[in-house]
Amino acid sequence: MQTLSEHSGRRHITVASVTLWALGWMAGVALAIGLSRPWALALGSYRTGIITLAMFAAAALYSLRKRRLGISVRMLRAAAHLPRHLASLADVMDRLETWRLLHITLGVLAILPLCWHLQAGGAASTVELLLESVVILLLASGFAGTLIQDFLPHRMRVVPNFEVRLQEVEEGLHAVYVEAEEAILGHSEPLVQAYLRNIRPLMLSNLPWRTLLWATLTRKDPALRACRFARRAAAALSSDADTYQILIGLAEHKVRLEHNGFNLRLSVGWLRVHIALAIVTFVLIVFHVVGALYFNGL
Amino acid sequence: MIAVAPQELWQRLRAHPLFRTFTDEQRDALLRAYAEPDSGLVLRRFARHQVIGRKGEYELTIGCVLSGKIDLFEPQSRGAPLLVASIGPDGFFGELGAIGGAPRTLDIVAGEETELFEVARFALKHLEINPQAREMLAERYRDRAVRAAVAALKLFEGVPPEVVGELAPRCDILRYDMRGLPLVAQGEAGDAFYLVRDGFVQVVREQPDGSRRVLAYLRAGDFFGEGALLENTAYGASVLTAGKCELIRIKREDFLDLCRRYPQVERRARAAFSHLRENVQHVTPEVSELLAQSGQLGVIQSDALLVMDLDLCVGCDNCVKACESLHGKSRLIRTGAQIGNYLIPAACRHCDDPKCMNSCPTGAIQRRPEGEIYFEYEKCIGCGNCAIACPFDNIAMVDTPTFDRAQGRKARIMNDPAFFRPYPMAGHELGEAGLWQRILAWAGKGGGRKPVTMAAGAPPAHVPSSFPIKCDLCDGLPFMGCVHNCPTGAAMRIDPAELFAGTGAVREGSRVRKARGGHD
Repeated sequence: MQTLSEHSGRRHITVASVTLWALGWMAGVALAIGLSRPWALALGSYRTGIITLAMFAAAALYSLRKRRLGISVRMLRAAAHLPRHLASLADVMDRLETWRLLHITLGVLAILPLCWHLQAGGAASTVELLLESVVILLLASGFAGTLIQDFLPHRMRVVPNFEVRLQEVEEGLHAVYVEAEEAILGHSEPLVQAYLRNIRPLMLSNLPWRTLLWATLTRKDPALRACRFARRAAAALSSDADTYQILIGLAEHKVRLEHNGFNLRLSVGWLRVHIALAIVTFVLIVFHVVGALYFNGL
Repeated sequence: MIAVAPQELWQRLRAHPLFRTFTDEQRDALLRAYAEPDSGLVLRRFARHQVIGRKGEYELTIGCVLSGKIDLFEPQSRGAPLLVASIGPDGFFGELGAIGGAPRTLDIVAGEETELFEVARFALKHLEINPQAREMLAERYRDRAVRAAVAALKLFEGVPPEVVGELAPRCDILRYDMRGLPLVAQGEAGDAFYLVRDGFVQVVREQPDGSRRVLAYLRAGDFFGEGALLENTAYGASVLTAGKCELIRIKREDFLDLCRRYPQVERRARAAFSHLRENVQHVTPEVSELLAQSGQLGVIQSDALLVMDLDLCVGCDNCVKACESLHGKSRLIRTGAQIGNYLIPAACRHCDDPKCMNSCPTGAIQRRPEGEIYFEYEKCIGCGNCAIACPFDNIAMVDTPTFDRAQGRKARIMNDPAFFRPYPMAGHELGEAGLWQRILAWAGKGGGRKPVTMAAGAPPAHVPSSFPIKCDLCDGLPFMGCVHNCPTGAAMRIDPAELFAGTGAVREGSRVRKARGGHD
């Protein structure tokens, strides 16, 4: 069971995990920035700007590739006429995982010409300062996304009763609540009171996102902490203790589902932030380029 | 295809052995069915040297030779194909496919101008209505099934065909449709040798503590029982059916006689048995649990299984989006059972025993020689039998306008209007609104939907209100969209045996080319 990914050749592209890949490039870029400062000054702000722009544009192609599969179809059909090894190379190169790797690599490498551009340029205007900040945020969100994509899937999977889609999480939350409400019917008043006091609030409320994020980061089960007060109350219920334990189990399941939902949202939510920042960056770059050309000329 | 009047057809059929004993009532039923469209009963004429069928094709029809002659060839990797046999008038072929669902085992070529009456698998009832015809088919099926199975096995290499021919009538063909039926019981004295001809069987051993451990699955081409016969002991494990399967049972004395006459058979059987015994050592309780779960979920019986490594899947749904963008409507839902760290999403598995294909009343579901199961929409009547028959709910019925739009999109992606094969509809707009169309529509300068050029064809007599859709492994495209568009490499199309690679519990043997490659 462990060998399937290797067996199918899917992970051979990523030398190490994507995070290590990104970190390695970052270290290389940091070193290159230190060594290439005189060269950057010699290149001037226009040339370094064009290189930076080209890098960003190349990285943005990933988004196009993701949405336009028709281009891949045409390209790979044309590649089918090439010799077999070239055709299969074209196939590997066109896979989205290869594009993703390229996107991350280009994103990290873009820091180098960006630093050259900053070194070569003069004093920054407000728009340029804003652009710098947004680009830093864009790169940071990309890096955070890489970390999330690399580590979160395994983290999510090891949680019991793990669901793979938000729809199932939502359905599960509803089902658990209904089950708990049905389980309490016909039981003694102390149990009903204990349920209303300790468990129902857990069923009806959501844990703060910080708690869930902390649970993800620390790899701790949030259900144990969330249900600790409810569990303490079990000692007072002697006759209906079994039913109460079932209710606690349901509450724990609900919290785990909530955590599951949070992780699922996190695993794709960061991308919305990343895309929003990319759009803002694009708009600011347009302003910056038009402004630079207008005030400084070609 | 030749169109002749039913009475004229009967004049040609009456002399054929399969139809000779038909009563008037049976004849009338056959001719009535023949007169109906898409009945699966067709009269065809082939010119000399015209290819009728190729090895590996899933043409599940019986061909009755009415005149002329057909030649059966074994294709050779180098040089001209080898002539294996010829079938003249009064003969028939294709019973392995029509009854057993197996692909063609030889190339079929018309030796001279030949007239054939073809009976499709789904129309066999018109033939089997006659007891003599049924008996004749069963006998021929047994003979050819034994010959084909023995010829394909390395175990019996060196055994002359005439010996196999003598053996065939003494063998039993066992056919099962259900899972969990006992074939041999652990501890029982060995009384027969079994060859799996089709489907899967499950090998289970009862542990001293009373628990049962699944040790392996045996598939077509595997065998069992040889250990107990050669060692003269009881069976060391129970064997149960794992769904639809077909076995050939060779009696103890016949198998031992073969071993005596051909020592190489005994040597190979002993080697295979010790290999199996060694493999069983690798099956830990955890692997056994996964094997049991895989059998219950029908995973083992798939030919091309889409799996997602949950340690890599980021839940971006790019796989579903890619499917939708290529086919207009997604044939994949990213949810399903989990086996170990793999998710088995809802997408066609191109089963070893496709229930959808067997349930289709018009033969609109076909299998390519490469293993993919696909719809021939021209023949589809939209009855939904396939969607009901699919045990994994992987076939969806979509209303015709939606279906037409989806097909229109696929035709555009394929850049081939002829791909738009189903019934052309004039009643609704086809195609989808692209960005440019939407801009034009917004500016009030036309827009609307992109027109789709359709292949010319006669308007159909009947247009179904809905059509079935399912994954066809991106038929005609250079990749499988879901797998190709996964950003983390989590999605894979595999032969399910790969899930247990290294344990030897299931032998790889998927017939689907795209799954055998492991990736697109």
